[in-house]
Amino acid sequence: MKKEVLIAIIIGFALGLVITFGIRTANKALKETAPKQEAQVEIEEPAPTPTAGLLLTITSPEDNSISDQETIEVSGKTSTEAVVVILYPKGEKILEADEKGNFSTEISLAGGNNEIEISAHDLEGNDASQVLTVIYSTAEI
Amino acid sequence: MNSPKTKPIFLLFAFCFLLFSANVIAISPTPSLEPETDKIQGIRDAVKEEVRKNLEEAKLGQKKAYVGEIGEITDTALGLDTRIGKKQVQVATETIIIGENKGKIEFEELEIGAFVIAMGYFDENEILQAKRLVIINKPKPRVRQVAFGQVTDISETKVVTVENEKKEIIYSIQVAGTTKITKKKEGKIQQVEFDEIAEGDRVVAIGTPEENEEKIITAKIIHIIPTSSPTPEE
Repeated sequence: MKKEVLIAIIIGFALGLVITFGIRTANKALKETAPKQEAQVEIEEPAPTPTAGLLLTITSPEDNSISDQETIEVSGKTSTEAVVVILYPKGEKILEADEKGNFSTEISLAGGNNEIEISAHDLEGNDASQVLTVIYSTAEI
Repeated sequence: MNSPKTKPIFLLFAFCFLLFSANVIAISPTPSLEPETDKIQGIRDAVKEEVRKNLEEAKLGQKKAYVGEIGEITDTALGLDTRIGKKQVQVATETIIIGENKGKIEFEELEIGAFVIAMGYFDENEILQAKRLVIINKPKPRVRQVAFGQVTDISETKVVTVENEKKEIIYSIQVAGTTKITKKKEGKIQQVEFDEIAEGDRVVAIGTPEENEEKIITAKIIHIIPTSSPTPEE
């Protein structure tokens, strides 16, 4: 009886080991090909938005754009309730971003080249600025 | 095999087999996930490609312009030194070129060092295909300055000292009779008087710096941001 039990344990142990080894080897082979796919996905992911400093994104107007209208909308997004300053050839504007950080105003353009400087300032003393070029021309292009 | 003696042996054998197999089954990957991941990746790639195509098409149809100094002239192109770097502008025989006197000029009359506005459309390589070139005067450097900080002192001569701790700059802002002072009241930016400026307030000032002294600014606009928002009862 004791001998039979021992043989059964050994056979069971050996069989279990063989199956474990077989499946683990198969798993390893599968995993070796998997990282390549993961790496590809990582490369294609968009870069994270920088968190340091003050965010300032201008949605309108586009840099180096041409407008055939004298008045254009300047809009964008910054920190909540940051102060936004817009300097443009015909004047300057100060406005406050809303509770979501959005801001929007209209400015009038001078004929030809308009360099528009938009800056945002928060209560912590952080600031961010962008300069855009907008051409006001009614000529047919 | 069916004898009562062999039963415990069979059970022990089965137990040992299951003990090892269960462990392996637990770490085995779900085979059905792989094709799903490929499917999702395929859809992602297709969407990205479509967005890229649409963006390119949109870019091709958009009017664009560069402003800059002519740094190079070849037979059919100009090299412009713009605010965002060197840019190439392709000039065709049908491109209209307007000189300083507002009259049409020839391509051969363009000179290195002249300032131009080049207007046209991007080609598939994002090179501007100029339809119109206009010679302009060299843009003047910006003189207006923006100062931002906390009011630390207000003098009787209407000079407001503003400190920007982050930048370690102290501005002296001269308030003139023409200076427009604004403050947000009841959700709207309204014009207010000079005495609304208080020590501790944060201000944004736009003005012209004194010659050779950019920290002394004669303000055109001052916007006050009170340190604490007033409560509805106030």
